[in-house]
Amino acid sequence: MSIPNRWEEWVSEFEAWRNEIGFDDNLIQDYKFEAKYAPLDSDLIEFGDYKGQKKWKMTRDVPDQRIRDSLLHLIVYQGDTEFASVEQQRHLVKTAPTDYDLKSLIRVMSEEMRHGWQMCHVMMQNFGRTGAIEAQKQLKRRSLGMQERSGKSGARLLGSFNVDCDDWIDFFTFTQFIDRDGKFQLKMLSHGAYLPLSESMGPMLKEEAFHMGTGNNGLLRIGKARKIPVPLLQKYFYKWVPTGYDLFGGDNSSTAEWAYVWGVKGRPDEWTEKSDPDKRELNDYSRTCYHNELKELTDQLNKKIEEAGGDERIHLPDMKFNRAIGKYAVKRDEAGRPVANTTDAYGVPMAPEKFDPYVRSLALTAQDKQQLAKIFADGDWIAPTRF
Amino acid sequence: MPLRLAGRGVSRPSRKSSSSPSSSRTRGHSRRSKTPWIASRPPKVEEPVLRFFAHVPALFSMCLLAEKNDYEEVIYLMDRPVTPGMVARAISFRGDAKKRPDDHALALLASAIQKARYPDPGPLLLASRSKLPLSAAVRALHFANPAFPLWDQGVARGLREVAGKQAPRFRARLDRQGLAEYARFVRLIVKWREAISFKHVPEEPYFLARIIEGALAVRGSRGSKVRT
Repeated sequence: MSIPNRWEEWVSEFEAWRNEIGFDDNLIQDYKFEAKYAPLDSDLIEFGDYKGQKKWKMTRDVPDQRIRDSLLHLIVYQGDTEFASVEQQRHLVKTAPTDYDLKSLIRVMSEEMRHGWQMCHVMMQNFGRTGAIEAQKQLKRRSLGMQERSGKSGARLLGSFNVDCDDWIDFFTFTQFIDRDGKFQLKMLSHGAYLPLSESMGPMLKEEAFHMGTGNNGLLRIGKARKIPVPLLQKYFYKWVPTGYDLFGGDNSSTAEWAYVWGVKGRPDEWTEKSDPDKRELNDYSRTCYHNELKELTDQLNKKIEEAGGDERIHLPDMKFNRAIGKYAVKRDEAGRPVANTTDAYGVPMAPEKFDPYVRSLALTAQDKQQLAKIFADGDWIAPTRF
Repeated sequence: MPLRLAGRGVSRPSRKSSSSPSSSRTRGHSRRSKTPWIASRPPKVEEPVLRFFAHVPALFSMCLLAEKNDYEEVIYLMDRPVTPGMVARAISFRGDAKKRPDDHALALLASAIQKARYPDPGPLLLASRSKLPLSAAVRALHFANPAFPLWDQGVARGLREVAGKQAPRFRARLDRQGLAEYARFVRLIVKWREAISFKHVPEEPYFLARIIEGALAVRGSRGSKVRT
């Protein structure tokens, strides 16, 4: 297939992608896809070596090719997650517990597609032929679960986006944890020196607020209904939270350090955090902020379970548990057997040979899924209010 | 043919135009455009509105405290197609109705709601013979399609405090004039939800129309201690 030369050509490919993944366009008849840009508080670069200079309006204003490469890399990864999440969630329209939940899902997917559209708009408008190639590739990769089903090649770029969303608990945990990671990433980019990217972030963050609210509210309603056994709900936390931690990238990351030095990606709290960062630990700093937020939300969920009369509690997996990226990543030998960095879900070290069976014991089994299917069929597994 | 009240700039895009840049504000942005990234920018709003936006999270949180169970009970109850029973439950929210309206009125309103397409509330006029007040009809419309904001005396009072004399006037009767003012409010909300900063949008599972309206309702309530 030829490279899209004009934006309209990319839009045609976007429409073909929707069709190919089986997305029902009737669901979004009124939705208007458009690129949205919002002005920033400051037109001066806010951090890094270029601090105080004017932000870059166009790619030709970016002073170094390495920075242009880094920007394109950031945009590609951001865009890839947006399209992937639609691939993961699209089949849930058939099983929505209520009409409002269905509306929420449709809105989440529409906005994720708009975010992908936005990133491709930035690439197509500002990065020439390379940008056009990358924008096209966004629509060629597939979330791995789907890839396996359809026999297509090319998985999505990040781990969390190659995991299937099997049911609505997956949807709520995904929007709670993975979209929340998205919020952190967008906030980090929103301070950046490159205007086409940083001005994209405000409208995207505004839309993400609804996605996270949907996830958190859904989990609270599940906690209130007390029909899903806590040990089963806990398994969804084990499925998504470690991948959420991984999304922040490696520790001691030189990529993150350079992105900060160049002023293109800051800290999530760059507005309020005035102290100089430890640039070697930027990813870990953001991951810790994310972990703290998750802890607060998990406490709220446990409070809800307690109010509803439940004795068991949800446990937020430790940051060291079952990681694939960073200093806590489980090290494996050539045969794939774990050899180091093996801990239980509480972060307590465990013998490497026990690790894989232990992780399997925390995943949903076929029996669990059967049990869940029965609960879902009863229809009252989620409360009509969270309060 | 139902009355179309939506003004310019908020008419419903056709299905084709919903994904076609040639009919949206992205039109003509070839890669050689002089200002290549300008596609859509938020509209400008007046200073008092910006001040109000800064208080939206706190005001909306007060709104949730006051209406928490009731709102979610209704929103998660609604289904398609809208039935007279659902309409009855929806209009009891923030209820000014002392008793359940008769079945004919409810059926008339349920039928009108099915015909309304955002952002045009015009088809509600078909329910004018129901003798239901405008605020009740809008309540049912909102719960069927939450992009339509709620509209009653309290919201209108809050709106007047924020937007001054420019604000649409609330009229109690479900008639052409009342709906025209409501349509103005819908257009205003469209503008405001584009203009509000993400820093002032709470992480809640509600449409922005609801969040802004809820904040206005608290702003307009007499007991509110929050002043923007």
